[in-house]
Amino acid sequence: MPHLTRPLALLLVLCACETQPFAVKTAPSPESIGDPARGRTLLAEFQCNRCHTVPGLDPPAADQHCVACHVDIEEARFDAPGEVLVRWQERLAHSDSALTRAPSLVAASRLRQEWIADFLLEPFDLRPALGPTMPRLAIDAQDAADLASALAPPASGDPLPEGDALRGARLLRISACGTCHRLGGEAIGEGVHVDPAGSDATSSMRFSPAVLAPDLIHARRVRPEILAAWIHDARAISPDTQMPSSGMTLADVQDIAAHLSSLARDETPGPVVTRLPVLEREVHHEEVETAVFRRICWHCHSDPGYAHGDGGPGNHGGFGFEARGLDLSSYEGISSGIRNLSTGRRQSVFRPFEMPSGEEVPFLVAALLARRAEEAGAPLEGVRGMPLGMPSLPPEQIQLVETWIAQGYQR
Amino acid sequence: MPRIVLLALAFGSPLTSPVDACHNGVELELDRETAQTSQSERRLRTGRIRSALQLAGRIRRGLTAYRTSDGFVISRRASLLARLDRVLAVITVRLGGGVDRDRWRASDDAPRATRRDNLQWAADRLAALLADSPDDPVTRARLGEAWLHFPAHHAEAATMLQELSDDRVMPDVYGYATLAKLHDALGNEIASADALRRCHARANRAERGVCRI
Repeated sequence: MPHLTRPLALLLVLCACETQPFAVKTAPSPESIGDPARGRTLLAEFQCNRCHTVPGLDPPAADQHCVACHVDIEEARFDAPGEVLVRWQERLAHSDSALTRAPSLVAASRLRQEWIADFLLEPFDLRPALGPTMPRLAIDAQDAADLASALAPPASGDPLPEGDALRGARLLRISACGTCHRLGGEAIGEGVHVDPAGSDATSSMRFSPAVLAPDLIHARRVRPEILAAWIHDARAISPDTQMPSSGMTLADVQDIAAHLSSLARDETPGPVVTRLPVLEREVHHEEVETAVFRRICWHCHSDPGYAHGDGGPGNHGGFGFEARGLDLSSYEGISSGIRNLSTGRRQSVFRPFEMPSGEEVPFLVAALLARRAEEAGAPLEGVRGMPLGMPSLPPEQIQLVETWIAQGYQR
Repeated sequence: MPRIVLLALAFGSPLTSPVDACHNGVELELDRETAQTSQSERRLRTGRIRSALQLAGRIRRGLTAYRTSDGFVISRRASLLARLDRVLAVITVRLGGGVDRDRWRASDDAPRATRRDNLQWAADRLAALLADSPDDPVTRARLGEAWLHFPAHHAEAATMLQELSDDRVMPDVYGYATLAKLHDALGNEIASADALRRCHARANRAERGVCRI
């Protein structure tokens, strides 16, 4: 059957290529950018395992695991009456702040240490379909370098992947990558796109693995010697990753890797949305509490009396933050302010804070605006954006808080 | 340990339930005693003191079961017990000591000595709670309110509450009203008037009656 000879030979060659593992090149004795041993200590100190799977660190108790708690609700494993669970599931399904998924840090071993360190210092929206982002921790450059060194091996010094970047761009558009990923915020190609963040997203879509898919504009964060191998068969490198095997030829993934390596994200700060003017009508605490404080803030700024003595990371400390004693779950709690770590005295969350424009706004409002500034790539000095690592509040909710304070923050 | 398990089984509240996840949001929905304690606080701040006492007293009597014979408090309940004590102490103060602490009911005809004992209990309990959380403005304000009944503590109480006022961390109008009364008792008219002014500025319509000496 001579007419079969050539295709059979081609198939054999392809199979041979597909099954031959990528040779991951590493340079001799590369240096880490930080101290991996200290980094491992910091992973525990910053309680990274409350959201992530962390290599070498056991998961925390069920009541400390933010993601597992939400997944238990989502999958009806949480010990609560059925009608309560259904209500909570609805809330999770319709919230862009639902912390139901977080990437495993086991897979961080494929990343460049320098990128991890920079990302920890100035986190940005890496995964467009996932509402929460990496929070801005209370860390310095050395901490970030040590954490990065604990999570990933040092760079090999290898050059960027070689390949036909133009062909890679074409291949990317017709590949299945666009099913889950975006590129620079845009859909890739014209195939089927899973859009877990879309307004018409069903609960199952919102909770699908696709929510973890990073924007491919950030592909350069992957160590160059490993990028093509990762695209080819990610699970061979990190068995717990959600990224499936691409099924593409080695030549194809090499070209796609070359294309992605030629891209970089636009770091120009975006516009910070102007805040809305205070309302004319009266705003009382109950309205702000329902719309804002008890919608999200009190998850971390709890009243310890009603939480087995644990006021959460924003009150009793956690995620590497010291105990600031801020309880946003009640009128009395908010009015009681926050502990100043320098003086040891409490200070009001309504005190004026000078914005970069020179305008003074209440500190609590500044924190909410700071989150919008962080999202725009222009973090504010002296105030951490809140809600920490969550999408910023809509302008209308910030307006409500600001109006309430401007009117004298009555109960 | 077996004693704890037996208690848990007897009162139908599992010790290892994961309901403390997400803390406030979950506890207030799923735990009856937590929800009712919160409700009694709500009644207290809206002036329904007797109704608050009725509810808080009932929960307190029930929670006694969580204390073992040697005084060990099951940890999951310790913070709620402390909160409940704070509520009951404030109720006792606002009723001028007129409570029956055995049954946790209002006692209008309580003798003067009993009232005194009750007020002393309230002040001591609040002082102990403050020792656990020394910079908690709410407990400070409530202790100041209790010390209103003890002239020997007026100056100390005024200093403590004035600091909250100066730092703008007074938890509510009751704190300002207490400060105004303390300054008035100490003869500091200007400071008293200032505290009253701040009280009125913070008071909503329902709370305006609180801001008086």
